[in-house]
Amino acid sequence: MDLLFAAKYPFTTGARSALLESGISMDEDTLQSGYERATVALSTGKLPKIAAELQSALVSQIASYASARMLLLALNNRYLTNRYAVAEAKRASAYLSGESEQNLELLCQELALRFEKNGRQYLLPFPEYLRFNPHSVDYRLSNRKISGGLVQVSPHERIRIMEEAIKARVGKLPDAKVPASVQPLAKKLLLHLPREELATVKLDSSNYPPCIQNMLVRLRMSENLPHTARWTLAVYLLRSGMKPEEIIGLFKNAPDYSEGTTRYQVEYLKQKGYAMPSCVTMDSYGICVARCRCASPVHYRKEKHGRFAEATRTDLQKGEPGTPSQETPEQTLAKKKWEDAKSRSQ
Amino acid sequence: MNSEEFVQRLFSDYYRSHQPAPNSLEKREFGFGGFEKKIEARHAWFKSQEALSKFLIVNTPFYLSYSAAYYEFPDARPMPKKNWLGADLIFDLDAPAHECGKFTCQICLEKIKAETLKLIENFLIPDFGFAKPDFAINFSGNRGYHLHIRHQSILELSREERRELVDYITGTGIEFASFFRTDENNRIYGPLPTDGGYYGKLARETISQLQDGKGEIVQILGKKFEKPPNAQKLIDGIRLGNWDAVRIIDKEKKFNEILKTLTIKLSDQVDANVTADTSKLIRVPNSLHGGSGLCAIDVKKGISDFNPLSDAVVLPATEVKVEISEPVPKIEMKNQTFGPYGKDAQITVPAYFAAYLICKRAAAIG
Ligand SMILES: [Zn+2]
Repeated sequence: MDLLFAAKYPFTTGARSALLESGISMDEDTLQSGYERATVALSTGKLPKIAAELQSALVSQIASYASARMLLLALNNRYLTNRYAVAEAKRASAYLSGESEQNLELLCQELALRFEKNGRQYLLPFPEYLRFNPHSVDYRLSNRKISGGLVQVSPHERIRIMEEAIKARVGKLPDAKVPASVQPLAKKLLLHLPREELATVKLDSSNYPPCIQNMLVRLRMSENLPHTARWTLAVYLLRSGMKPEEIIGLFKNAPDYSEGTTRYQVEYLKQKGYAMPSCVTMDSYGICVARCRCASPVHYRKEKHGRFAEATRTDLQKGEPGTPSQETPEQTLAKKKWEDAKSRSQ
Repeated sequence: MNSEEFVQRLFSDYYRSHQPAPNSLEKREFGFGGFEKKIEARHAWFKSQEALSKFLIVNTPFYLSYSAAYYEFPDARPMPKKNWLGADLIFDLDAPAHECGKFTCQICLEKIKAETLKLIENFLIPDFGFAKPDFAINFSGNRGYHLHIRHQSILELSREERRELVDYITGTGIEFASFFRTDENNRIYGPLPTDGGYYGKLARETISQLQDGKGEIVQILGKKFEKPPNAQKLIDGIRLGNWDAVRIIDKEKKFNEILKTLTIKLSDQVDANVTADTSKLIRVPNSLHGGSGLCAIDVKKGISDFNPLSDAVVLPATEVKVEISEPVPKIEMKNQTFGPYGKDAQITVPAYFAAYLICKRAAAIG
C-alpha cells in the first residue's frame, strides 16, 4: 500500500485499509487529532498539505481524517459537514495538479469517474459530468462538445470535476452509530457555526421573487450555490437596499465561505452597480424556478405575480438532489375533492 | 345511456382485451382522471398487473397516468415518504397552438413528428449515445409524443441535472462567444464538422445546406450562397474551421440565428418541466386518452410511418348516431374522411369517431 497516496487522499478505500492494517485505535489522542483537523478546516476553510513524510506521521494523518469525520457524524450538521468537505476537497485538489497520471487514474477509479483520454483532452460520460461539474456558466452543457454520450473536458477541467467528486465523497457521511463518548469533543465544533443573528434577513422579503427566495433558502441550508446564483443574489440584494455588510453576513452560511473573497466581491458589485439580469438570462443560468411572468426579478410584486409563481411552485421546494417535489396546489385540491367524494359515498 | 357512459363502456370493453402493461408497475405511483379532469386522484398503487387490469375494466378511468419515478412505497404520502428510487427520463413533445385548435390537424401532427425525430436522430443518439432499444416512443394520445428513456445511466439524475439536459436540447444558454473566436484580422474561426455537441451540428448542417443550395441556413446567410462557387468556397473553409472564407455581412447575428435553427422547440416551459420534474405523472403507454378516445399507443413500427389518426385509433367501428354540438372541420380518420359538420347535425358514424367527437366535447349521443 502506498501510504503517501493514502495520506494525501484519506477518503480512498486504500486509506481505509491502511488505517485498519496499522491497528491504530480511536483513542483519545486520535480523536484529538481529528478535532484539530476539523477545527482548522472549519475555521479557515482550508487544510495544509502534509509536512512530514514519516510512515507513522502518514498513518496519523489518515487517522485524523477518519476521526474528524466521526466527530462530524456525531453532530450531523449540514453546514459543518459541507464546510469541512470543501476544505478537504481543496486540500486534495492542491495535490492533484502535480499528480502523476497513474495516480490520477487510480483516484478517478476510486471516485467512479470514467474519464477516457482523447488526444490532449478527456471524455466523461454525461451523467457523471452533470453530477460533478462545478455548475458555472463555462460548464453549461449547451456549450460543451458532447458526442456518443461523452463530454469533452480539458485536463484542468478534469481536475476541477475530480475536486467536486471528492467534495461529494467527503460530505457524504456513513450511516453509522457513533459512541456517546465522542459527543463532548464533537460539541466543541459547534462553535464554528455561523452566528445566527448575522445570517437573518432583516428586510421585508415578501416581495422577493421565487428565484431569490429559493437562493436564500438554499443558502440557509448551507448548500453550495453556483457562482452565477451568488452573483445575481448579491446584485438583487444590493439593489433592494441591503448593505454590503448584511449581504456578507448572509453568505456566511455558504460552506465554502471566505470573508475576504466575499467582501471583495460584494463591494466590487456595489461599486460597479451592475444591472439585475432579466428573467430570460436568469433562466439561461438555470436559476429561474417559477414562471411568474415578471420579466425581471426586480419587477416582481407578490400581489401581481404571486399566483403565476404559485402555479409553478413545485420547483421551489428543492431538497436533496432527486428528492421528489411536493404536490402542486392543483393536486392538493384534486386530492381533497376525491377524498370528499369518497367520504360522501361511504 | 349518456355520452360519458358510452365512452366509458367503449374504454372498458377495450381494456378487456388490451391491457397496458407498464414496466415495474409495482414501483410506480398511479393517477386517474374522469371525463372532466385529467388527474382527479393520485398516490394510487397496484400490486400486480392483474390488479391494474381489473381496475381498468371495472372502474374504467378516462385518463390513466403513472409516475416516471420508481418508489419504494408508491402510495405513501406526503411525497418524501414514498422514498424515491429513480425515474425514467421523459421528453414530452406537444404540437404548438395552431388554428386547428382542439381538432389537431395533419400539418401539426407531422410537424411534431418531425421534431420528435429530430430529437432522437440529432440529439439522443449522436450526442447522448443512446441506442434505439434504450427508449420507447409512444403517441401522447392527443397532440404529440412521449419519449421514455429507461437506461440505467439516467435513472438517478436529479432534477437540476434533467433540467440541464432540457436546456441542452433547447439550446438554452448557448454562448456565441464560445463557438467562434476572432483573430486579429477580424477573421472568424469556428467549429469543425467533427466536433461534438452544437459545434459539430452547426458545421455539418451548414455544409449540408450549402451543398443543397437551399434551406433555412442558406436563407439566413443570404442569396449569395445559393451560387455553387460561393457555397463551395465557404464549405471548404468550414471544413478547416475557417468560417470567413467568403465575406458574410452581419456574421455574428447570422451565426446566432443559425444556431437557433438547430435546437429542439418544446412547445412551452410546461413540457420542459415534465423532464425536470422527477415526480411528475404522465400518460401510461397504451392507455386510452379521455380527451380524444385515441390510444397512447407504442410507436413500434418506426415513427416516420406513424399516423396517429389511423394507427392510434383502436375503438370499434360499430355505427353510432350522434348529434353535433359545435362545428367540426373535415377530419380524416382511418383512411375515411368525415365532415365538415355544422352544429345540430345528426350523423351516423363509426364508434371510434363518435368517441373522438364526444371526448372533444363536439358531439353527444343522439
Ligand atoms: Zn394544426
